[in-house]
Amino acid sequence: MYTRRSGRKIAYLGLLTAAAMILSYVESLFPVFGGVPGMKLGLPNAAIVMVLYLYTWKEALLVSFVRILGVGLLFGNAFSMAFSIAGALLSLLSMVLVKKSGKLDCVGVSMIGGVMHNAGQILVAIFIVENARVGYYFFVLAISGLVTGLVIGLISGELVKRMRIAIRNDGSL
Amino acid sequence: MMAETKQKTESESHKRRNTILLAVVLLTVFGIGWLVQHRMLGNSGPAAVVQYNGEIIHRLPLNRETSVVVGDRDGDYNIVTVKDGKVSVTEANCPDQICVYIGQISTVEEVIACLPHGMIVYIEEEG
Repeated sequence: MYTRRSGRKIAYLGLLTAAAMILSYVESLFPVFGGVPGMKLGLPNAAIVMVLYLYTWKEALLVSFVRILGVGLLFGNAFSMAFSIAGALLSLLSMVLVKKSGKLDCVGVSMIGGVMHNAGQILVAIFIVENARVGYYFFVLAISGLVTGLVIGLISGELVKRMRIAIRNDGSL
Repeated sequence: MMAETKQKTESESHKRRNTILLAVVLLTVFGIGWLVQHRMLGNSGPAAVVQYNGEIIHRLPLNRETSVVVGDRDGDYNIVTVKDGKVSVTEANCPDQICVYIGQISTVEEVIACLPHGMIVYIEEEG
């Protein structure tokens, strides 16, 4: 029983990792979205939020890390990898804390994740160019992270409901 | 599932209400911040400053059309062009080309950043 269950879990995590990687790729097709550098839809976050709600923060961290590594090796470079790790880690950390607090639902958690992802990347950008001027984009990126995070949260919330049922039915087979 | 329902400190509808409240508050705060930023820094400036790896290497007056190549020994380069009172990166060999996509900037609040090369271009008022 134990091996069957863990095998199934690995399959689901693999599925979600693949989804996250595809979404990252789709997103990378628009280098400058809306005329602001770093403004993104945050599509991969949908998969991360789903893992966070279906499993625990450990699985979410694993999927997030494998996604960045995979996408970095396939379509990016060491620079883009380091850059996305900063955003993803800060985003995941804040999402885990917000979820633990139990004050917000899945949509709120995703929203905070969107804002913190952009905040993390701006911090790295400030560090790289050694000038706080890139902070100019903070408010614009915070607003875009908020809005896209909300939408992503709504989508992943619905998907989590359906996947929970699927996983449960799967287990009874 | 049972353990998870017990852990929940607040009901789903309560959480949703909190989320909506927080979204409105954050949107207002960020929106006001953005507006203030535009009001305070909205003037056009006369010179483009090119900073490379933390050092200012060029000051280009916006009223004089010019083009400079900035780069390092590794072969990384960006071509910074001033035209029609605006500055832009017209060519670069960075992997993401974000600095080129951004296009022309002309106000002190704007900045062109080429993160792979550690270069930024921003506008500075005279003096």
